[in-house]
Amino acid sequence: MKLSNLSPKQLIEIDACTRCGECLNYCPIYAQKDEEDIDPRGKIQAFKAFIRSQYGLWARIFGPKKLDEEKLKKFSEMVYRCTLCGECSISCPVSIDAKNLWLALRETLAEMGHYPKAAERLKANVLEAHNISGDESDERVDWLEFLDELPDDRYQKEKAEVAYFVGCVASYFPLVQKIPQAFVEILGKAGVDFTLLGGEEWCCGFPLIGAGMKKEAKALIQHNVEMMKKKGVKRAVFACPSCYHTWMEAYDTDIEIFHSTQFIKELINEGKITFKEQKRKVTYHDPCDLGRASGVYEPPREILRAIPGVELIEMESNRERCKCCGGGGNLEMVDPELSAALAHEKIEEIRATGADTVITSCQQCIRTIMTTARRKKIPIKAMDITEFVLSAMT
Amino acid sequence: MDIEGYEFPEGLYYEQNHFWARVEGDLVVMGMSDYAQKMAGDIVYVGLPPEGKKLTQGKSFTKLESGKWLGKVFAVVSGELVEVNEELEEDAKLINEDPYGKGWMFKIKPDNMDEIKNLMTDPGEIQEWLKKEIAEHGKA
Repeated sequence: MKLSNLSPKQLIEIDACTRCGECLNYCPIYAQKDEEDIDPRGKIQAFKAFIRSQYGLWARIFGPKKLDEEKLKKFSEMVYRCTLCGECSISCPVSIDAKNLWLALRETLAEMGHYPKAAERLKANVLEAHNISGDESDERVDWLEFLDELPDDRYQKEKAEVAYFVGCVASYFPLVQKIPQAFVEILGKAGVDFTLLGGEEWCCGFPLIGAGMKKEAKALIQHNVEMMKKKGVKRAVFACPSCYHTWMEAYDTDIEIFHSTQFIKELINEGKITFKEQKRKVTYHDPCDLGRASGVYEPPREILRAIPGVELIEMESNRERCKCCGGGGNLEMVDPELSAALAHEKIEEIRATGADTVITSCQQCIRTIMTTARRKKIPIKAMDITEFVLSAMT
Repeated sequence: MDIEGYEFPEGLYYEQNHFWARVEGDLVVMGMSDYAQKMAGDIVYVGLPPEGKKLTQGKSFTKLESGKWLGKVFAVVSGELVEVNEELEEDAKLINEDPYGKGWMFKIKPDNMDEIKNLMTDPGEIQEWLKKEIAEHGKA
């Protein structure tokens, strides 16, 4: 077992775990499964045992033990059965950045061939078709056909200052195509000089990084930056928090990066977006990749407060303590039932607020919440903030 | 008629991608077959294109999804989309519950009604085709 995917800091973090169990109080997977092996503490201890068997004192004297394939398989199942929500990272009293540790462990396991079978198809789709669904690249902007009015350039200019990077899920999955449909209308109404990359947009690389295949994402990253540069883009906007976070963390570029909530807030401040009154009681769900991972908590709340008549009721767990919807970390691909169980918990928390609508800023959160709600016939309305903003604009 | 546990009403037309067609006056109503809806599982959303959209027989024009599964919807005839089943916007599960009734999807004004003859309507032909499909894709 190679440890080259782990930084010296991460190796120290593994050793620093005091087994206090504070993370058990916050891990949503442990709350569902109640298994010690699946919680952050259990995973760190299991990995420590692997390290000891390979690099410990006895291993140095007598040579490393042969790795137990069954134990590795079980460990891999535990490491991939996680939404990468990051609550363990913020709850750790000794500041172990557990979320990034899980990513490094996934990378190590993937290199050893211990990763979920479903990730194989995901990898093939992303590397061959450059999107997660395996559909044709020129279908990436099919959602435009649903718009009432479409400019001649179909929002795909040769040059523009701003590019809206749509992301695979909002491009290909009809349940959330209202997000790009709403966002291009908002940008158009606000007079922003923007373009889409159209069929030239490739997956940002997030699904591969989440699956432990970070090295495979390099070509995607290089391509996307080149396409932005070709169009002279200075500012890139993302309605998908995972694309946004990936660009912030894994892309080396001088292009300014914005999430749609930050960009909309700026347009409101500049007076380019104004609202009519809405009599609505709403609550807000913080997507993990926007909140805990990127620290963007206030712009969406400031937008909602800027709409007259909107009453924002916070959920019991909000901001850095917001509970994951169950849609993160490729969990749905690995264990759809577990993902749905988390979504059900989230729905109950939303309903407890008494709000008529849950607003969020992530297509995957909408899909996870709405898929579970519709399957279970729970009457709940989830909207992306872009749709909500468009419906309230004058 | 019942084919290995799947309902395929006689008198309808069926195309290779598992969508059915029924003639209603000068319009063609289309939906998803019982086999396809069962294979898809709980359908949670169908993209409803704007009315007036031009469709081409055999070409996909929208998508539907059930959890992680993503499927394309193919036009049963060429023509103009004149009506969508608005109830599916909020309750796409109607396709699972009543695929040939309340779960209908679209109404098309065909350019040429004769095009429907390209689809299967003979019970023997439908049975033979479905058995091959089950052998290839399995049963839900």
